[in-house]
Amino acid sequence: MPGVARQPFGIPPMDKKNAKIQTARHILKKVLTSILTIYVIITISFLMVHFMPGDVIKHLIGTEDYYFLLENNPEELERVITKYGLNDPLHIQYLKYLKSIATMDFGVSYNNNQPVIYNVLKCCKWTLLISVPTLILGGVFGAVLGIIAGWHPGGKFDMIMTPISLFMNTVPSNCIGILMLVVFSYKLRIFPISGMTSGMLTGAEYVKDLLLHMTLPLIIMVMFRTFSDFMTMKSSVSQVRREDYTTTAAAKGLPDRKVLFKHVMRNAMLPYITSMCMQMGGLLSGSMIVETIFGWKGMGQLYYQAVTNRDFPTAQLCFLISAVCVVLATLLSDIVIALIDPRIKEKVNA
Amino acid sequence: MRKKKKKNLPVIVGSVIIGIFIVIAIFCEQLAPYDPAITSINVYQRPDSAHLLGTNDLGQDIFSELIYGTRVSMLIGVFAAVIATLVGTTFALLSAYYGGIVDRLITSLTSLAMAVPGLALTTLLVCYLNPGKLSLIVAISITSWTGTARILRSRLLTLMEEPFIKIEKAIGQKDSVIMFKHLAPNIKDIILSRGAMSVSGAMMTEASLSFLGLGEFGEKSWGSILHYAFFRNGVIRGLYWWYLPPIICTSLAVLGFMLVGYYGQQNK
Repeated sequence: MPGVARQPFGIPPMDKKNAKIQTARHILKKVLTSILTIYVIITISFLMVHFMPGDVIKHLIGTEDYYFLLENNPEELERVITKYGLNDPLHIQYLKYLKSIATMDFGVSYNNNQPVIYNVLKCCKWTLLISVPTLILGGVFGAVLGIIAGWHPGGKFDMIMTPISLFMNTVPSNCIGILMLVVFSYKLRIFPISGMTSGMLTGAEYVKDLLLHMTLPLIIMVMFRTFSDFMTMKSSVSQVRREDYTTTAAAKGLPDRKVLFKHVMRNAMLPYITSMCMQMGGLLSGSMIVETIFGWKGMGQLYYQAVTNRDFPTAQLCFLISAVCVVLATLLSDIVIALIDPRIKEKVNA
Repeated sequence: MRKKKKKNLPVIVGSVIIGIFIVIAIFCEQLAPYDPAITSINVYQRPDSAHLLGTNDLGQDIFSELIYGTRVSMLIGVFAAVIATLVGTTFALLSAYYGGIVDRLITSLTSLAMAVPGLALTTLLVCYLNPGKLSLIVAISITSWTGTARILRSRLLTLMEEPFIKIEKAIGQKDSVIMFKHLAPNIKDIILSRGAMSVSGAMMTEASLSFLGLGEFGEKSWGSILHYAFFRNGVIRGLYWWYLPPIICTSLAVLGFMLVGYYGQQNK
């Protein structure tokens, strides 16, 4: 943008109004970058279908259907190929593909002949039901534990929690999932084995039943999230604690509580907030394994089934949605940080 | 730079774990008592002296399966990590050394690759490519080089300000010599520890993918053993000798690489 004079390095930031304009410019740039990223991802997902080994039509309608039609009904096959426009040159196909995405027409699922978008929206709801509580609970637990551990790095709490959380971060979620399933569902019989409801229930009974089915997957996801958030918060807090201003604050006689809340927390929260925003990108796609183990009919399960059944329209839409979510979450974290962190403003200005 | 060499217990433990698994992976023909592919009529056998970890639904010896699985899992994990680390390091070097337009291109490529959800893309790729070791390696490494590239780049940028690099540039040393003989050795510690972390990440992804049934099935990896144990009712029937060993092995191996990577980096 012309007309905005660059400040020479080392001179303090300019007046407030100018700084606001700079921040807005920064955010606008991020928004444009995100839109571009989404466009590139859409293009990649188009190219992926067309440049993968094997016939495109086999990917689009499934290998079995292809051979079935080839033997029994070649005219129908020809009709399908024309319908997908596979005889057109690549750039025409690409434009058509863009158009279908712009009009939200994602095709029909091979599994139940419903529009793909309908299936996906149905599943979104169930995934959000467990991923939103995971985000909140894991975020809160992780932050609290992380602050305690980071406040005394190398202390008892830190020495116990860090190896545990390191270990928890290494165990693949399918392993823990199966172990919990065995212990709590098969041996102790506290929780139901799989699925979402027992069926034939209404009202309060239904809600209770649903919660019971939810508990085990939720516990696992919260556990994983807590431990990874714990690591983020711990390293952030212990880093801030080594800074000079924290030492100064403590040296001038502020009580620990005040140092913690006024000086340490405020600074340590910034990376944590970024990480929380980024995690929102995984709200729809982050629980594939857990959903598969517990038969939770959410996005992850849908994606998994689409991939194993070679239901490409569904798989592609799921992929696009999760990619868009990640991009939007990154954008959100950029905006939030630009608004609350004064240092970023300065960096933009410099 | 180096003040004192303290004994780093986590790194030693991690290295021992990795070493044991590598030995198993190399000598699996000698170690395995049976051919893991051979089926027999002794199905669902409990662990005893003939079958150390019992047998599965086809009467295959699970102990042998596990030993051969070590080779598959380690191979995929290590190769994917090596590719990811090489790509990440090269990009970081190019980006930090040349700066300008090259840097901008590589940085935006990195942020683009970071915007793509890893497991989702990997799943989709494995599904388009045909399941197998090679496609698993490609699919895993294509999404996992970004972290390495980003961390190394920021480290290299500070290194570029050092006098010795400036001097070398001034005396007209060749770019490739500066990059690979002088810049790269200076960050080899980070490269190695990032590499170890990448292995643990790749093994985790492999375990998840194979568990979902998208992995290597000609030769079973640990994840595939778990896949069969779960989807052929081994878990429901309480056949602990079938599902526990792959879980323990996967966790141990990942932990080994993680310890080396995490604590190796921290003490520098």
